[in-house]
Amino acid sequence: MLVTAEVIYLDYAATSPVDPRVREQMNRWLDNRDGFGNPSSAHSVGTRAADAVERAAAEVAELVNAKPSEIVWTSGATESDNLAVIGAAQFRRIRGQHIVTVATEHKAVLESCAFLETRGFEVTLLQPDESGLVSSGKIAAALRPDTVLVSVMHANNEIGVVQDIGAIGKLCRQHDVLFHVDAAQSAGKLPIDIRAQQIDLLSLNAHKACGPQGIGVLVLDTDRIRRVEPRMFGGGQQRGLRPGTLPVHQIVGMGATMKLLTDGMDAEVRQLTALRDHLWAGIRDLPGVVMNGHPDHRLCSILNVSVDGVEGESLRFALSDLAVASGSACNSLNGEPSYVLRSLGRTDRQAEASIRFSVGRFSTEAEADQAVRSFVAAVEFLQSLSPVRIAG
Amino acid sequence: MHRYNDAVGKYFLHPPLEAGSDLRGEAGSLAQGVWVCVSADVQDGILRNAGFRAFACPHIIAACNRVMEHLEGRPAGALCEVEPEVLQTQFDIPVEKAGKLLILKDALLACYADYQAGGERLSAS
Repeated sequence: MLVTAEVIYLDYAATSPVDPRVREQMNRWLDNRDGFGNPSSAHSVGTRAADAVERAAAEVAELVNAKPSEIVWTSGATESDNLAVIGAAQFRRIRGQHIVTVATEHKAVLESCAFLETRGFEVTLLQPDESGLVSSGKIAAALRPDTVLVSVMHANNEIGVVQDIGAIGKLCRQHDVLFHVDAAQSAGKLPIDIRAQQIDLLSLNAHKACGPQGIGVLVLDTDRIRRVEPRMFGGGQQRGLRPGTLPVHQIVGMGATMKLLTDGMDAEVRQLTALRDHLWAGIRDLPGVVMNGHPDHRLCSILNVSVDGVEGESLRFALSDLAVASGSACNSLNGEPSYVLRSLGRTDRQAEASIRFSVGRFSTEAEADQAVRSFVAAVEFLQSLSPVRIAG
Repeated sequence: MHRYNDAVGKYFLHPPLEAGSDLRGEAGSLAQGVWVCVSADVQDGILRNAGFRAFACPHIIAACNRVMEHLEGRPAGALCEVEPEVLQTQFDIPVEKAGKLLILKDALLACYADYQAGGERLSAS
């Protein structure tokens, strides 16, 4: 159970508490029990650190059927997305300057694409259907002879919708177009196999899966793409793709995180699915409550709902005993309604009055029950106060 | 997310859900993101059972509740005397929300206009 200062934490899609088993592995490098060296150093202290990095790379690689040598360590999925989209597109620009992506992608991808537009690339931004799905047929129709990259996230961070990555990967391979997948939300919750799903570039992080913040990877299928244009310079580490001294404790933490996912995925998915469905069962009959996203093709850990007739900020205020994300979750600094929900056809009011529950490894049924009680009370209170007539 | 002072927390909850029906005034709309409906009874020119419904942020709901508390037992003219600046200070309402307070003010003025329009009817009853 994770209750902090009377607040129930149901925002695992934003970040998650570090698993004690991961923390222990990291601590062994922070307190020097396992070492402290620079993996690039040639002496034995450095070699020991390099061995730890190599083991962690193997642990990450195993989760996604990659080779350890295909792992590029980054600071997180945002950097991985930047490096994948900008780096791959720039590296292949001689072949073409067209990119295909989806309007509901993470800003790390969308803003990378926007940056590339300032460098002469053209970007086709596909609109998903009202459930958030994009068909491979729609992507096929957007491909052009000069398309060099398709970027589609595995599971959406706001609504949890899961795209058919295998079908899109196959399509891209048929057209010899690079395929990038942001799997920040789906790692350990959905099977990922970069070879079977024909993924050329894959972004992962640790902190959405009970690992440490500040560490991620870009996985490169080196049978398909050996290099991307780097975004950082100096030092030559990681074949120059992402230089800088490797943070061994972070890397060990990510390796341990991914190992736990590999070993425990089936059980964890069952647990999270049950909690997610428990939440939905408790609130689905409230008038004006609708689920955002596809009812079936969605992540086991995310439930996103909109509420008619209530104002979004008041809904969040009334739910102050819950740490949940709102329709402006990714835009909390500017207060704008979620662009993801608007892409699905939700109105600004519906997008603002939306709540994302995301459960994780340490969530419990008792927490879900309390969340349901709080949500029901908040919605009933605000709807009773509202001049808006609620259908149903 | 905005931060809220203690007054917002106090007045946000437990607003008067049973309001009078002699007078009614509203302003704003769903499209505007703020919609306030004020209603009250009036007896011998004195406001009773002042209440409201609102589609609004916590600041405005709290301000509505405070205004209803203030109006209870006062002459109908008090509907015109509510000063948004005072509410803005009391609830530490950010300047970008000042326009929302004007919608509350408009609803109160509409309620007073209803009082004036129905003066004869209310006097007769």
